[in-house]
Amino acid sequence: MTSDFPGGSRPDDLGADLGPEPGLAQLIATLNSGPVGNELAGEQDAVTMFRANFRPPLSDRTAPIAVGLAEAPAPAGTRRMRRQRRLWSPGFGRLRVIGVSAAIMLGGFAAAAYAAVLPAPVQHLAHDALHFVGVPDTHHGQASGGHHLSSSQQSGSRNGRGHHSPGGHASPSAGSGSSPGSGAPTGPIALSAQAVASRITAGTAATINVQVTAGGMADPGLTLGLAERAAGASGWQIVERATTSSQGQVTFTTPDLDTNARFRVTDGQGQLSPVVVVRVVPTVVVNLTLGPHGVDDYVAVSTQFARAGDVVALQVMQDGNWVTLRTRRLNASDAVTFTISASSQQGNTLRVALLPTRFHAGAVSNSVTVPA
Amino acid sequence: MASETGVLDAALARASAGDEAGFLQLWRALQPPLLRFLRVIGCDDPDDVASETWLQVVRDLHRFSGGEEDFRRWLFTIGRHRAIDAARARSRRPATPVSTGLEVLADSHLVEDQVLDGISVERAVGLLAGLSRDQAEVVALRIIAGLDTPDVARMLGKSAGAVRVALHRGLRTLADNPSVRALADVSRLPSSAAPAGLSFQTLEEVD
Repeated sequence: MTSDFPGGSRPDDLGADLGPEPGLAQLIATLNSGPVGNELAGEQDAVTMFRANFRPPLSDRTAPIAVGLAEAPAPAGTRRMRRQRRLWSPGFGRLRVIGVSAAIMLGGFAAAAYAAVLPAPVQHLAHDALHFVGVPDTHHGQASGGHHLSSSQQSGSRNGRGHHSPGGHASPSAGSGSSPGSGAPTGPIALSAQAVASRITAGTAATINVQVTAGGMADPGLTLGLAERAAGASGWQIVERATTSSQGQVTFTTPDLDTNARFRVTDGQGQLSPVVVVRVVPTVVVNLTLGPHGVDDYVAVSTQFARAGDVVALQVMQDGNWVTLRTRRLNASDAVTFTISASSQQGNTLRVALLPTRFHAGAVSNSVTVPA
Repeated sequence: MASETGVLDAALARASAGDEAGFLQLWRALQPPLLRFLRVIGCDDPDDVASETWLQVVRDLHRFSGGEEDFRRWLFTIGRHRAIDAARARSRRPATPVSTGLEVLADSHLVEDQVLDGISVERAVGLLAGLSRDQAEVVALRIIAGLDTPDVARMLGKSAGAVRVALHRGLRTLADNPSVRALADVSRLPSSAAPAGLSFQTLEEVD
């Protein structure tokens, strides 16, 4: 599998009748060249993401696992489980292999269960089977000290699994402990998130509403994290945390945003909401300055939260439509000045449009009218 | 971005054990080709898709087993899937242009910004992206991702023969491109970056 091909790849037989292609060779070499530009710009974000999301192999989960928001206690029963595996091994043939494999899986499962990092329904089953070694019930009890249901209430209402009533869950005084509808919500957790406004003024905060359901029912008392990835960053950062209400809802208020950003909500145990995109609209202001001799006038453009190099277009209102006269790029001060002919533009209404980039949405300025 | 087999195998093993330095080594080696691949296949936001790709990789790394080539195949498979997902999401919620007809200006490149005495990666990626979708994807997976023909065939759901044909036609189209031909005349890249005498013949399979 030797190769003289850049990147170690091994292109196919391309035929022998095409002759040398030095231009193509240079193209291929360029495509396989080292990092350029900002290709590695997100390095620190990548490390942070790795730190927050890496999961050790299940059987090795003997320490708290930093999976998003999961802050699980270190299981103390791992050694015991290993010893039990040895005792269970029948010691011969295929049965031994099967036994060891099953024991390893069970050991890993038990460790994960003890660490309370399993999905809620699985954790609940694990609690049923292994509560004698201290396996906790679902994450609800850990996630929120103020949760309305105690662990005993949850385990005592197993018959209601999958038929959780938000109202009953929120109010233990409702006598729902013996009701079929009073169990902790189980089943697949679904996180939905929606921004109140997908476009906001740059420099302000966005509001994101989240609904959490488990098995189709509201899932209260679940601690969630709001992860943000700002435009240009390559990693996600947890920026807010909150616990779902009795209706399984959370409203997050983001930090003030000066660039477009994507948001996801995570329960720290593998469930992620779809991406919510929030775009910011910079502020663009134009001021008309009349020239001293009535020849040229000046349209000064100033911006906030736009960037040097962004394109702005000077537009004039003609027959009810905005028509672009010319475009320029913002200078290092995020500003630019258009010089216009006073005579040809007299009486016209002008404005400036800032073109959208990956960092911000498009924006338009106030309008100014050139005196007749 | 020469092959770092062995080095990356060790980095992969360390990363699988939770070692940040090992992961960083993998990321540094494979993030640039991943971004270039995503650009070639027309991904609107390659940074975002690459980020999603690495997130999934990290989350599932504890279940991964294999060497560097397996990891490379896994990474680019995920990246391709995330790019498809992103394209579907975009088609469901098409963006509304703020000022019709002006957006193209934001992405235009000034002549003075272009490198005149050599080909930039961006331009090279652009040339690849100019191929038909099938050819561009095959060429990118073979050249940028460094995957074998059988791997590319499996990933794309094609036969190995179809992949070879697409690669052949894609490279030939590139070779016939005047911009690529001109590279031979203005080539100023060091010989180590552009192997002397590299031709279609030397690109043949050697196993």
